Amino acid sequence: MAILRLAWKSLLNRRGTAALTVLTIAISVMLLLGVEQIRSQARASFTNTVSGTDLIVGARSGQVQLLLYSVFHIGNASNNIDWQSYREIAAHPQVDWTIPISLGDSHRGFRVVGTSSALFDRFRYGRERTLVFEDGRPFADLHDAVIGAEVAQALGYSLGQRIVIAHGLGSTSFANHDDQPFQVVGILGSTGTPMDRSVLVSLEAIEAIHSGWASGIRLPGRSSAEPGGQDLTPEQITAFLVGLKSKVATFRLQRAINEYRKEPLQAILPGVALTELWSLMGVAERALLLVSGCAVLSGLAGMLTVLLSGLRERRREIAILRSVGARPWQLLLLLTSEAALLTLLGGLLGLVLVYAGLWILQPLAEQWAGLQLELLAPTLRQWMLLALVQGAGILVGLIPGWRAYRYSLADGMTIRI
Amino acid sequence: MLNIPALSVGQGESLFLRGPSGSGKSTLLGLIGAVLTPDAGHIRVLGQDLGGMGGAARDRFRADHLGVIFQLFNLLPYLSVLENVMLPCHFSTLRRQRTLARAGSLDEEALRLLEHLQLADPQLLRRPVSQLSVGQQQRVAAARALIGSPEILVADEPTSALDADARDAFIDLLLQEAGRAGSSLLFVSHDAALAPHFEHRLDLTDINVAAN
Repeated sequence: MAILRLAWKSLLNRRGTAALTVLTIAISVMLLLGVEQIRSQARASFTNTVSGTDLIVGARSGQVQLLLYSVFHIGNASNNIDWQSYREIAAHPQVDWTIPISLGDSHRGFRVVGTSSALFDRFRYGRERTLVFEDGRPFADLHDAVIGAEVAQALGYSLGQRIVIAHGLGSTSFANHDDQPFQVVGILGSTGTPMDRSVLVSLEAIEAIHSGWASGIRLPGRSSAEPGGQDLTPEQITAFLVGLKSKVATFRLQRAINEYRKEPLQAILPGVALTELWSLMGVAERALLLVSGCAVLSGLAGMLTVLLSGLRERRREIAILRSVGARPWQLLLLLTSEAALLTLLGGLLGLVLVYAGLWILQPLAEQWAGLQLELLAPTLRQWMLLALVQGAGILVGLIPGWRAYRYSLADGMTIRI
Repeated sequence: MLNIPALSVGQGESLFLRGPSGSGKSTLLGLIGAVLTPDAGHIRVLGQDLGGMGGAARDRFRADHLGVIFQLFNLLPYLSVLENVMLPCHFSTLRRQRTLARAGSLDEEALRLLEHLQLADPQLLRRPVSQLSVGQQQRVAAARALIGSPEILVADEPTSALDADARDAFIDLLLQEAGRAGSSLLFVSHDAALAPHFEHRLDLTDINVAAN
C-alpha cells in the first residue's frame, strides 16, 4: 500500500506528462469502447425491430436481402407476391396475425409503406412494445397517412398537414401522385426502428394512387381512380410479417411457405437472417476493432516512452528508496503501479469520453443513420475490453519496472547521476 | 579493491572515516549497508554475519538497522518534508514499532526530530522539499536516517555542499541526535578538518591493506 501511495504521489508530481499520457490512453480507449458500443447498439436496434415477428415472407431471394428490404427499408424487392398467396397463408390455422407491406413510393426521401391497420395492433418491437401514437389516430379514410416520429420532426409536420406521395424512391421525384394528396392523421412516438422514418398509408391507398399508372408513368387520358368507384383490393404486395399462435409451428409453416406451389415464396426467421447479416458484417467489425485495438497499443507505447525516459532521471530516487529499506521488488512494483494507475485513469476517462461522445452523437446518428443510440451501461464485453487494456497496461509497466529492479541491484545505494 | 583486516565500531560510538575519492569508500559503505557482499572474509554487523544472509534478509537488515545520509539530493521531490522523514517506517516494521513506542504517532516523532534539528518552523514544513536550502535538506535527511532509532547511521560526505558554519552546526546536531538515539555513527569524508568532532578517527588508506 505504501508503494501505491508513492506511485500516486510521484505521478501527481509529474502531473503534466501524466495527464497527457492519460489523455492519449483515454482517447484510444474511447475509440475502442465507442466502436464496441455502436456495434452492440446497431445490433440491438436491428434485433429490437424484429423481436416480435416470427416469420417474414416475400418473393424468393436471399434471406438477408428479404430482411433488409422488408423491414429495414434497405435495398429493393426483386419481386412482389400475389395478393391471393398472401390471403391463403394468412388464413393458415397456425397464423395468429399478419402485417402486409407494400413498398415502392416515397415522400421527400422517406419511404411510404402501404400496410393494414393490423400494424398498429400487432406490431411488436423491443421487449413486447407496441406502436404508440404521439398524436392523432390510425388511418381510416383512403387518403389518411400516419407518419413516424422522425418524419414529423425532420419535416416539421403536424396533424392536418397535406402531403403528396412521389412515385419511386429518392427525395426528388418528378412523378408525383399529386392528384391524390394525403392528410396526416397520426404521428407515432419514437421507436428506434425504421417505423420512425416511414410514412404509413393503407394498402387500398397504394392501390388507388397507382390505378391509371403503368410501368411507373401515368397513362394519358386516364385519371386515377375515384375513391369508391372502383375495387381497391390490392393485386400485389411486397412482403408480409407473420405472427404465429405457437412458436412450435414456426419451422413447419416456414417449410410450407417455401414449398408453396403457385409462386416462388420465401419465409425467413428474422433471428436466423440477422445472424447471417452479422456474419457478413463481422469482417468490417473485426477490422474496426483491430484498428481501435492498435490505437490502444500506441497509447500504451506512448506511456512506455514516458516512463522509460523518466526512469533515467529517477535513478537517484531508486537509490534513495533503496537506502530507506525498499526491496528491489518494491521498486518493480512502484514503476509497474505507476503504469497501472495511468492505464486505469486513462480507461476511466475513456469511458467518460465514450458516453460524452455518444451523448453528442445521439441526435446526429439518428438523423443520418437512423440509428438510435442509447446511453446504456457498459456491456460485459466492454468491461472485458477495459480489463484487457488494464492488463496490457500492467504488462507494459513491467518493462520500466524491470529496469528499475535492475538499477536498484546494480546501483545499490550509490547515487549515479 | 578493498582489503580491510579488521574494523570495528562500538555501539553508540562515532567514527570518522577519512578517504579521498576513489579510495573505496562507496564499496565499504555498500558492504556495511548490505548492498554488496564481500568476496572473502566476514562482515558482522550487530552480531550478524551479513555475508551469510540471502538477498531478502539483507534488504530487511538494512531497512531495520541502517540510516543513510547522502552527499546531496537526499529527498524524494514528490513527498512533503514530513513524509520524507517518515519514509523508513513504511519499509521497516521494526523502526515503525520503535517510533510508535517512543511517540504517539509517526508524525509526532518526525516533528520532534525536525524540531531537534532546528526545522520546527511550520511554514518551512509546508514547502516543497526542492525549495529548501541544501542545509535544510541535509537536516531533513538526518531526521529520516534517525527515525525509528536504527543502530547504525551512515553519512556519506553529508556536509560537502555546506559552508563551514552550517557544516559544524550540522555535525554537532547529528552527533547529539545519534547519541540520543543510541546509534553508532559512521561518518565518511575526504575533509580531515572535520575529524576532531568524532570519538574515533581512521584513514581508509591506512586500514586498506590492498592500497598499500
